[in-house]
Amino acid sequence: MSDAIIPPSTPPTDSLKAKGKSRFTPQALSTFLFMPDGIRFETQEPTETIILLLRKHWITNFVWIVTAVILIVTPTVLFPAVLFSGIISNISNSFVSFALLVWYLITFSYILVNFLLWYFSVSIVTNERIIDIDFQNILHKKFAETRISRLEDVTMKTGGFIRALFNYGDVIVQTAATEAVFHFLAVPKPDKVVRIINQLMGKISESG
Amino acid sequence: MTLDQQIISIIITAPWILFKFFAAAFLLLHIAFSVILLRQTKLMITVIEAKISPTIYAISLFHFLFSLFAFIWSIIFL
Repeated sequence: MSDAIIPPSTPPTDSLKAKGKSRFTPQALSTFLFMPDGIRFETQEPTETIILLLRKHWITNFVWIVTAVILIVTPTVLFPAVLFSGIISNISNSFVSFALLVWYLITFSYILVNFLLWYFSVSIVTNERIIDIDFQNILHKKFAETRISRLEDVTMKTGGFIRALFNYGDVIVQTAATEAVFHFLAVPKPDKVVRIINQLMGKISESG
Repeated sequence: MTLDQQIISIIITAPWILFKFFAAAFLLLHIAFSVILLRQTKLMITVIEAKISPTIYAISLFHFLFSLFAFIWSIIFL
């Protein structure tokens, strides 16, 4: 994959796709997709091909997943303990059912919101542009894009035990504009991302 | 009898009614939240279109229906 130089405005070929790791992982929830199949984005032009689609590394979801598991398991321990210990007497069945219903409703909302924010916050590298879609919360979306020809510098930042262990980090893309900086936060394989963007920059500057 | 006195008398005589009122109000707010979530999911799946998009929308729809069910259940059984 690292050797693949992607010509602009050229659809992906089978040989290029065969080099992508995405072929061997379930595409739907993957965090590093090289030339993904069946994925389009809102402002994609007809001649535009997605080279990379990146999400935050799976491990960044660890905290909310653990919290969700605790929220799911807690009633199975807490409710029988409270009911059979006799701490609260004269508690009706309908109240217990209501409490359980509300508990799992809130848990469901918590899981869904966190999943949606993770799933739809993506960084996309196409053969023409770089796009950063960031859902800060359910109501706020940030959409930023720039042409590859306007890119000046691509750097990666990684460090720390967890990031080194799971091989993820930040990719910072500097454009020609004064303050336009793209931050691809906590993306997997940042070295490969930088290499692919550099190849695209080189290819576009060669073609003029 | 002032409003304060009425509320205090309800709390003393039938606290269950007050609890039911707040539970229904909370679940109504949650329905509003789940409607917003459903609408936002619909917008999000147009931003990124993938094979899994209908499934994600279906989960959001289920979340909304679950929220509606909880509200109706609390009105009937609580």
